[in-house]
Amino acid sequence: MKMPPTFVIFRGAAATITVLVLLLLGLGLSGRGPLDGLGGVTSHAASWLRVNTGPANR
Amino acid sequence: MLTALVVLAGAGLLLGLVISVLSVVAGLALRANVITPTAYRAERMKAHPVRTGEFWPDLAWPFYPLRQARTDLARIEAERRARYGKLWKWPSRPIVWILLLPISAAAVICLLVAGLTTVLLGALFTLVTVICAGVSAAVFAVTALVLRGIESSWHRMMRAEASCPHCYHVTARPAYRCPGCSRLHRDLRPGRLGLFTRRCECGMLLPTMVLRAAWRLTAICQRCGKPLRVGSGTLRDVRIPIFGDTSAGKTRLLYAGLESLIDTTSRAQIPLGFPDEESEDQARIALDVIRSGRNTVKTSFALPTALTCQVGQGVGSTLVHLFDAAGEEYRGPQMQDSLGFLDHGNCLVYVLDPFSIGSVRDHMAGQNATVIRLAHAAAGDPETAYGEVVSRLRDNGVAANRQRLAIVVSKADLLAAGGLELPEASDAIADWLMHSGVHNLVLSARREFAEVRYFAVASLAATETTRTYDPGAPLRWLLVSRGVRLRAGPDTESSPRVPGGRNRPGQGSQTNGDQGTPAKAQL
Repeated sequence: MKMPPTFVIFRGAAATITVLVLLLLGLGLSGRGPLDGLGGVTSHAASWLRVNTGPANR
Repeated sequence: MLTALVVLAGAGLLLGLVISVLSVVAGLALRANVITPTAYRAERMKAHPVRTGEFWPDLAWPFYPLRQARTDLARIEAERRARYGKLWKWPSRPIVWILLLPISAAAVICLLVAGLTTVLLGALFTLVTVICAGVSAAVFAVTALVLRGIESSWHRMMRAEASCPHCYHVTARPAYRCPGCSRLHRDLRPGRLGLFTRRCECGMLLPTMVLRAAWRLTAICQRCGKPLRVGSGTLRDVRIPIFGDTSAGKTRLLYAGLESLIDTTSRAQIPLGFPDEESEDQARIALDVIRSGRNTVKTSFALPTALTCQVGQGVGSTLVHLFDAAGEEYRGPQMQDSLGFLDHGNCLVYVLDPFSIGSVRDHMAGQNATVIRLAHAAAGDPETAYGEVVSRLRDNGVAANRQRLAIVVSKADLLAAGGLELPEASDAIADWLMHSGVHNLVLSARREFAEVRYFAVASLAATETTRTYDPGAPLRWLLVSRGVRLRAGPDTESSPRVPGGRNRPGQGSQTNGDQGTPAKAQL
């Protein structure tokens, strides 16, 4: 039974948009792209880790 | 310690990502749960059981966001749960894991992070799908409403309907046969099964909307399943039953009227054709009879098939269905079953044989007995068939008071040959009938119908020398009332010319006839 191409298009579109959103989030967390504001969160977390896992705490 | 936790979280994140991707791939492609047209129909019928007189829903693929999207999300979630659930099945007994506490604790942390990741990714995918589906469904719904509105406006504006020439069923939307699998699609409106096109279960792509399907698919009667005329449901549809007593001259009027119509349209350079071979054959026989001057044969008792012609060209044209049944059908109880076309007529033609009127017969007997012999006079009372039909219309709830009735006094040429010249104006013919003893019919027609006009007709070919009693005049009057253009210029009913080119300025507005001088018909 031949499935309509619209099924494939919709599924592909949903998956692609999800990947794009994830990419945008990833880029944002690394301080690039339209969501570069999220880069602050990353640097915050990195400094926290440095403080808590640094040589002074070993 | 914290470093180890970060590493474990990273591993869990990665694991969650892999599980999510695998779940999506399996749920959408490898092990997708597809809602087939049959399954969708079963669901719809379970939700809304088909009642008596309703048809089963059509078998076609539903629009993705309306049904399949939900199933896909459910399938992906089931895949995700199954995959993630397997990770929690430890290879050894719980006691072993308790003894290996540091390792098992690390695994639990990793799995929890993986689980959280799959949930978040699943939620993201669901959100994206729901938003996409919601937006498309909203756009889809609005477009579907607009398209349906366009179609129903077209139907109203054009008075387009699909009428079956065989069983006389009339509907706004005929069924269409799939060219791939011959399955019937009974409702091609834009909707759940497609906006501009729909895909049949067999995979064939079909256009939606009657306006588009009419020219590409075979239209089928919703009731009897027989093919309809090409363009049914899209073109203006005019149904004209011709009724009257046996030997009143119905069939001859139909034939001669058609010939006159061809003559009129050819003069106005309006194309007149026949939508299919069956109609063309019927018309050819009719025109042969009229042009050769032969007598028409007795109409059979079988249910009449409409003689259909198409006036005009393209989407602005009109399908004209002319119905003619044997006069015997108008008597007795069988009429209730067999003459369904009377109930669906847009207007009516009643053929009255003047030789069946006692006073006329008496007058003729004293003048010219040969004429009476030639006339093959109808034996019955002229008011009987009329009364039967009007009763039937009333009993079946047909709004006759919104219809036009053309009362046609046939055989006017024979009357003239016998020395009795019928008047041409409608009111004068009505007066003549009143004085001839058919006053009940005249009074009843005036009461029952929206508008009644009287015509004196000689059912002769257009090539005859005199067209004083034009057999096309009743048809033209009725067609123009239904919005059919029969002239090159604007149609006006109030100022027709008298047949035969004899204009009578100052005459009453209900002169019967129309325009122009006769010319040879094309067919």
